[in-house]
Amino acid sequence: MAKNLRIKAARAMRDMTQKDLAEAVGVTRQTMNAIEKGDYNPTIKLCIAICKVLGKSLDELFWEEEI
Amino acid sequence: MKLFNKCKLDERQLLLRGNIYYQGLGIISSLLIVNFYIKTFFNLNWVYGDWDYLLILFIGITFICIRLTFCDIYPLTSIRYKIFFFFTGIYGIGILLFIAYLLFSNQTSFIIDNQISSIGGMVLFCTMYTAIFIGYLIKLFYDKYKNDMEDE
Repeated sequence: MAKNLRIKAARAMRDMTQKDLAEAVGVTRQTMNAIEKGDYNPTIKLCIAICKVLGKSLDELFWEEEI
Repeated sequence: MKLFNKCKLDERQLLLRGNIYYQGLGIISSLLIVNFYIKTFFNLNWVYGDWDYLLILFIGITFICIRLTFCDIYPLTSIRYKIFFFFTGIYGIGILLFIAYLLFSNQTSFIIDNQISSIGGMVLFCTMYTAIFIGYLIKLFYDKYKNDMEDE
């Protein structure tokens, strides 16, 4: 799977570390790292939680990138 | 049940843990079947007594423990898991050293009557304990030096 750089960018805009974001959504830092690297597909529930914390929509963070 | 359900894993950890347990069960089942065929059709008792079942079970447990460690299921910084891993190391290495002394002083033997003796079984058992501890140490150093952390 491709890396999810949009989550990383959105996180950086809010000046949050991976650990901060992970704690905010209730997962471990390793899980958040796996999501950003594209090694793990989060459930819709977790996707929504990430979107809420970062103030973005599902499309903005998780929709497929156009080539 | 809530009293026993103190473990809080996230969805990724739960999924991985389930897969690892499934793989461990597969390994144990396969080894048991192989062991059955070896003993029944080849009439080969490769280890003394019932050590074969214990060893097969512990091979599965060792695989599960090492995989859980490397998949970040255990929080390695937690004092509870530190105690667990150090206990496995102290027990495994300590008993191995004692048995090594017995073996090198010819007080016992690894193989007796063409089968692994009970001492030999104990050596294998303790080797697996030690392997769990070494796996923990490798993961600890790997996490420390690997460029896994984000740029802060």
